[in-house]
Order: sequence, then structure tokens, then C-alpha cells
Amino acid sequence: MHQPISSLNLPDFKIQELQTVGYHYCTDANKSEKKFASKIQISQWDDLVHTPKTRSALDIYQEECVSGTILTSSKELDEALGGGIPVGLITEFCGEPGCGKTQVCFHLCVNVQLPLWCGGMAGQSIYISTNKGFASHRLREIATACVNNYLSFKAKHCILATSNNDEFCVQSIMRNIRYIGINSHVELVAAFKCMRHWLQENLMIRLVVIDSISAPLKKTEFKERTQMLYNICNDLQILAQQFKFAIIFTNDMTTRITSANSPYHTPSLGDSYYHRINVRVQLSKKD
Amino acid sequence: MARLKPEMHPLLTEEVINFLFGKNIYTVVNFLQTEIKQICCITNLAYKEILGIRKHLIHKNSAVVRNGLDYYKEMIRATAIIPTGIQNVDAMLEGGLLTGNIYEICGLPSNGKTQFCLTIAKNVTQKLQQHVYYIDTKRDFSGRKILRMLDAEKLPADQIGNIMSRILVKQINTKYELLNCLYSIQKEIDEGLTLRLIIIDSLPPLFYQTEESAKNYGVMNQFVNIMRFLAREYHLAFIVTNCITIWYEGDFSMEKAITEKLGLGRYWLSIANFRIMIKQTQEICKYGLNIVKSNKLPKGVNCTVNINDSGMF
Repeated sequence: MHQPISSLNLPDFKIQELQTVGYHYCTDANKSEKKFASKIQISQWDDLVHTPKTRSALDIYQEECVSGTILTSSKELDEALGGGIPVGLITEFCGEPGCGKTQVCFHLCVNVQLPLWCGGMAGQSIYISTNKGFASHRLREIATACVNNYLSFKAKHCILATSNNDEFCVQSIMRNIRYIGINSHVELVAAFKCMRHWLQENLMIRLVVIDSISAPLKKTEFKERTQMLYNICNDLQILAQQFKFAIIFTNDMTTRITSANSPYHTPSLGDSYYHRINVRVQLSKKD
Repeated sequence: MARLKPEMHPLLTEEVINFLFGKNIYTVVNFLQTEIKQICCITNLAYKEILGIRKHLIHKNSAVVRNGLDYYKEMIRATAIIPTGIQNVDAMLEGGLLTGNIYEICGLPSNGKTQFCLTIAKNVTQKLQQHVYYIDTKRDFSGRKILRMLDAEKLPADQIGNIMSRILVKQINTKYELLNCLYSIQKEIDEGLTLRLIIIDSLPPLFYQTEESAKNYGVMNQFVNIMRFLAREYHLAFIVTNCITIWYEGDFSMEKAITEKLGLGRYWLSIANFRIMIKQTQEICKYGLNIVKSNKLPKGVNCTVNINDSGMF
């Protein structure tokens, strides 16, 4: 079976134009023919028929090992996640207000900056805040604690301080977290376009946090939501694949009503979104 | 509908074809629909020669008539049952996955669909010494998970490497890439790849990206065509995952307003030959599989499996 031209990502009028000059299948395409080249750009054609490279499970495993994971500051959580937050995937933290979602994000933003020799990635992070919940003084406290831990760890293991003369300090940590404040879903999508520029300049971004994915989406039409979420996830994962960073979402809880009239709490945004994300961690407060 | 090419017939030289293109006769269909006399004038070929070309083109481009008995024998020869390697599932499916069929595994999020796919990919490459194609749409394929499953069986390292290098993975992002992938897999099989199973882990992410349903259905139709073609002609089995979502309508005053909806819309309902639903049970790590649609097995057959880090069994 030959691949028809109508199966390519082309607008309908282009497909029709090609068909009127007798091109119906991809195998008919002949780049040297004038008629063909006049209808479509050759570089565009290569993009259209592009197939992602095949890799074996072994290749993927090796890549996973090289790209590593981000530590969460909690040994038990790291173990449950299979070593930490995986790169290239979407990990969601959900829970009631005040159960520490933002705090976990702050920890990750700091931990990702740890030098390579003590389990960090020596990377930077982008923090997209949609709910004005970015408390920089809290972040500073966490950073200070982390630096103190780091210094005592270094002293304990008698590692000479000469080699990397303390790049890792509170100020550098704060500098390496880029903050974007967002008010609506439109701004969120626009932020991704900006991010691409940053990522191309600066290859060390290893973490992108969207603190509350649900806040901007609550302002949208219910019908558009699934599509928007799937697009956001897709755009981010394409970038993450290319630039090797981890993606963190936070999500809040909502109430669902079952037939037995007993309401229960469940993360917002529904099942189709739940299907799309890769890892979900639900946080709750213990009495 | 193929475009006219010099390879098609010795009389269709480059020059003759250029004459035809000049008169807007591009494809075989155009050629056959044009009056012979007119073609005579355009190409300066004799009436008889054109008749010969016509006959040849019709013969080459029409559907092949096959004898029922031969077709049956061919089917018996080439069809295989691929054991999934999961004891209860094999028993439920009466041996395993039958080539030429499309199996759909559906379930609520986080109910073990990906684990089901990974386990089968691992088992088939391990037991049948064959390749398996795994098309991954949301980066859920994990080399680590496969390794953990193989480690649990305490296999030697070289064997593990061998198995893992036979699982071929394509990570894709759009529905158009899915189509390109399937056509390129067809090419690879033509070039000698031995393949009996293609797993597509999760279709909804591809088709939920736009709301333009006309475009979506068009692409889905193309996808179904090539998938069925590969399944039938190359004797492959397909496993496709789909999600189920729960919809709550009404409020406290209404009861039984819960509906479970299968993803991808109505058209998709008729595509899969087998639809298996997977559901978490009350017990930890135990999942129930249930056949909800099948043309061969009785409806409602079910089994229970265990899922943990070392796979599904």
C-alpha cells in the first residue's frame, strides 16, 4: 500500500493542487520535477514525510541512565519514584491547599542546582507561577538550608574546596531560578514560545515547573480544556525531549459526587488529563 | 491512480510521457479515461500499441482475484497465535494474540495499560526471538522498567541486552507522524524485518490535540486503513491502548449520573477486533481483564492478573 499524499499534514487546498497535477502518492513525488517543486518547497516536503528515528529499548535505557533524575530531598519519595523525578516526563504533585505542593517544587528547583558529584545536575530551572504563590523568602530559606547541608557534607567527606570554589551559594541559587508570572492560559502558551529562545541560548535548564496547571485552565471553556491540556503537554514534552529537562505540574483537588451521594476528593481536570501525565504524586497532611 | 512512469511499459518512453503530461494526462486513471484516438494524436503511437499499453496497465493496477481455497490455505499457513506469556491472559484469549487482528486495551488512567503493553513487548521478544515495534506517544516507554522485569527473571546480562535491543521503539508526537511511522514500518518489513506485533501505547494523545473533528476523522481513517492493511497482508497483530473517562452529570439530587466513556469517539468503536477492559480490583496489585468486544470469543470472558514491578503475570 502506498502512502497517499492526503495523509500528510498539508492544508486541503495544497493537497488538491498536488492532485490536479497528478500527484496522489508519496512515492510519486519527484523532487527534480519542475511541476512538483513549484507546488511545494523541498525542505517542507522532507519535514512532512519525516519519521522519528527508531531506537531500541537498550538505547532508551542508556539515555535514561545518562540523563539521570532530580532528587526530591526525601529518600522515601525518591525510592518510590524509582530514583527521583525523571527527565523528559511530566510529574504531577496534587493535593489540598497547604499540603506542601509549592514547597516540593522549591526543593526541586534548589536540588537540581547541586553539583554533579553529589547527585545534582548543576542545572537551572524555570518556574512558571500561575497562582501568585511564589514566595521568594521561602525559597531563600530552603536554599540557605540546602547550602548549609551541602557545606557540612563537603566538610565531613573532606573534599577539597579548591576545585570548585563555591559556585553553590544562596545567591547563585536564586539567580539560577527564572521566574515567569502568568495570568491566563494565553500567556502560558506564549511563555512556551519564549522558553524555546531561552533554552536555545542556555543549555543548562533541567527543570520546568508550572505551579498550578489548573489555575489558568479554570478560566477557559470546559470544552476547550482537554485539547488545550493535551497541546500544553505535547509542546512541553517535545521541548523536554530536545533539551533534557524534567517537567513538574502542581494540581489542586476538586469534589466528585458518586451515585451513592457520597462526595469524595479527587485531583482536578478529569480523567483524560490524568491519562496524559506520566507520574502523579498525591500529597496529604497527616494529623 | 499512480502517476505514469517510464518503468511501467516499454512504449511509455520519457518523450511519450512528456507529451501526455503536456495534455494534463498524469495518472493511470487519466490515461485509461482518455479516448484512445486522442492518445494516438498526442503521442503518435499506433492504435494497437496503445491498446497493448491499456491492457497492461489495467492488468497491473486492478485488484488480484484469488481462489478461495488458496486464500484459505495461505491464511492457515501464515496466521500465527502469539502467546502473550501471561498465563491467565493466554487462557482467556485461547492461546494468545491472533495475527491479522487489532486488540484494544482500554481502562481508566493508572490501571495498568502501559504495564500490560510493556510486559507483552518483553515476553514476545524473549520467547519468540523476534522484533516488536513499540510506538510510544507520551514517553511512557521506560527502559528501566523493562530491565527491572528482566532482572526479576535473573537472566544473564548478554541475554538481557539481546532482548532489549529487539524491542524497537518510536517516540512520536503527532498523528501524522503515526501514519509516516506505519508506512515506514511497512517498508522495513519489505526489506526483511521479521515482525509479528506492533504496540501503540495510547492513541488519545494524538487525536485529542485538535478539536477539528473532520480533520481528525480523516486522519483516523487513514490510520485505520494502513493498520488493517498491515495486519491482514503482513500477518501482524496490533495492540492499541485507549483511555476510559468517567463523566459525572447532575448533582447531589441525581443518582446514577455516572457514565464511563471510551475515548476516540463512535467511529473507533467498530475498529478493534478485540476490546479488553482492564480494571483495578479491591485487592492490591490485582487487576481484572474483561473482554468487552470480540468476534471470536464469547463476550464477558474475564481473568485476573497480578501487576508489580516485575511485570504482569
